[in-house]
Amino acid sequence: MSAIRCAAVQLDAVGLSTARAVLAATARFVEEAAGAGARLVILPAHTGTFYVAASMGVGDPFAEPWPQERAAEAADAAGEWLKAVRRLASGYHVTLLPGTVVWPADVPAPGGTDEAGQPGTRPPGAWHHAAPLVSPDGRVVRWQVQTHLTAAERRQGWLPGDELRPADTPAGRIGVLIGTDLWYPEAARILALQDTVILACPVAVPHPYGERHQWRGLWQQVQQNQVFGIEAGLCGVTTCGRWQSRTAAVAPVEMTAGESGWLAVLDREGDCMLTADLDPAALQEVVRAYDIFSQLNPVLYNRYMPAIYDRWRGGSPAEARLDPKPREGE
Amino acid sequence: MGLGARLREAAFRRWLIWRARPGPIRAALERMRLERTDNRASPQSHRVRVATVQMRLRLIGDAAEYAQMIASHARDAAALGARLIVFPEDSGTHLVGFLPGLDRLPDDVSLAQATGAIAGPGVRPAEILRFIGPAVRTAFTTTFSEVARRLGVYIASGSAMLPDESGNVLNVGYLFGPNGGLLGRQAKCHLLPIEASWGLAAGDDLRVVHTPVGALGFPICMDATYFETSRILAGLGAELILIPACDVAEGGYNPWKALRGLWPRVQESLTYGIHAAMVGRFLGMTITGQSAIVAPVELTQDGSGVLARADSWDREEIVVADLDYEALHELWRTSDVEAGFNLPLYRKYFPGAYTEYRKRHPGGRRFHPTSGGD
Repeated sequence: MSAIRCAAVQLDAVGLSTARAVLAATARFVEEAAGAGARLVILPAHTGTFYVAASMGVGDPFAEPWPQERAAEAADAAGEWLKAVRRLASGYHVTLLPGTVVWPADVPAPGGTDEAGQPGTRPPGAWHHAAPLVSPDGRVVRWQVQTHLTAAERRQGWLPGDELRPADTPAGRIGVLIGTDLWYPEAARILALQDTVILACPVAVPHPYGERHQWRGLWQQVQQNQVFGIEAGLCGVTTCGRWQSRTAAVAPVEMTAGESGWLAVLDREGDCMLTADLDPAALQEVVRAYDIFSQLNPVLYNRYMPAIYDRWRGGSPAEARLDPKPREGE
Repeated sequence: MGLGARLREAAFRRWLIWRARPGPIRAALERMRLERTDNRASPQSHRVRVATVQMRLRLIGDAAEYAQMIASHARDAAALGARLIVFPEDSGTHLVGFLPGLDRLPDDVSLAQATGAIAGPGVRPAEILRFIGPAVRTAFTTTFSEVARRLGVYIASGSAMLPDESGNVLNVGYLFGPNGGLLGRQAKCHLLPIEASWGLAAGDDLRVVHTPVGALGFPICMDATYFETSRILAGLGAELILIPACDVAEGGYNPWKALRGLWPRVQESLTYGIHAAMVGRFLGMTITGQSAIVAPVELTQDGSGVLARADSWDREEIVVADLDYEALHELWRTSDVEAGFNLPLYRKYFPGAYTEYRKRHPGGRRFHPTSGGD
């Protein structure tokens, strides 16, 4: 296993106002990344969404839910985007996570297979926020639907995915987490338990940026699962609002300068790219020296985990948590 | 073992228990004239002042001296208004000093060397801990129970390595109420690999104790590295998670490494958290930690997620902060994080994913070469 050079692209949403501009920015950075030796390239969340919105003449894709009657139109536009990014992946021979796209939940995605997963397998009237992972031969090897949604995203009519599976690529076994998935440790754990080596994470973080939010997101998931993590973020001010993501590459602290866990971090907004070399052999050495998973406690988890989640009726534990309990030791 | 050896062992065991008897402990505390605090009275019942004790690990061979050392820290914390006082992991390890001769070993002797010097080569630490366990348990629980009662505060004891009814040696902590009663007991559920090599066993249960100073979970140190711990405790109703810790840091204190513990667990599961750190040099190990009282970032004015933190990572300190449970409950009601859980996803993968993982990796985790063809 040799080191994998990975590129994470940060995009300014201002430059994504037309479908042509989205593809031009994507192509420019894929070319630059491939030229820099990257074998895996990751773009921010909603790169595809902007393509679709621009194609449909929707100025602000997040202002209100997309109407069901435009689902076919959205699927056609998303299909065009997908075709273009698959060409880029095969043209530059890279594994490409070209960002995410909002996809009608009832329309099967082109390029999706049973093996890769399908974002469009739900009832009409709803949408999925999903990312295609494209191999260097242009195949979609994984469709990953965002599994944890914010209240604002649910108001958009999006449905969460209920599956997390990594995909084997020439760049390694990759699991995709999208946006808010990073704040839920279950998601990264599920992927890590399936032997994921790289967490690839397209994000679009609303202003204001807070480093502690990033600490509790990807950085933390990387540390507690002993994997690599790449976060590619959206920036910029548009009519949709302001994004202030910070693109970064993360590894277990033992593998980084100053034992900080940060392999590379972009320290400015706007269009730019970072590269990082991910060495699976070095990661294996870290795990060999100190295997966090060796002390997982399935007996404990078996005792509680299904029941704990079942208690959180309605998707929110707040009600269960606020039930009054007798107090001891008064 | 011959008759003579058995008799010598039995006599030694009785001598250890005699050294740990409660009488001298109570007498020593009586001499300190500890005053019961009035910290129970609070103008705002939903606010609770809590304290964490950052404490130095050293060998103490005398139970009365140990009790006075613990009481001194607790008295200082109670004087600052704390109703709940949290001690670090291994707060009972001082009492390994009951073993004669240990205090005469050089400072930099390793645990393995110390074990060998005491019990001969090939003896695992757990065997020694099992042998002295009854004495340590008596001194440890008597001390914390008496101190809690005399000061009228809740005390989380930190932990000691003690045998259970089956003879398994666990790293276990206790919670005592202001009347000195035992409110709960918690074994460490996720060991360090080196602890496993010593022969310690992991606990397999987590409990929340509902008290007037909060619904408390009190797992131990490495338990905070695993999100499952705080998720289970949150599901059981925890408002506050206590993490006694004793971190060996040969390269010196590293805040990034420390960030892998309680702080993210508090952010994920939206509870308050208290980290109590042991410090010092002990059996050739450098122990560091920065005790802190943490909260969800939304409940801290500067957005740091830290309500109070020790100034050092190598000295004894006491840190206090006020917890506002009404604010926490309001956060539960309004948080986007709380509303975003994906129960169908969790039900699909948990707990089977752990079992499947163990089947695939019986000898430890190995990343395999990927397929896909390049």
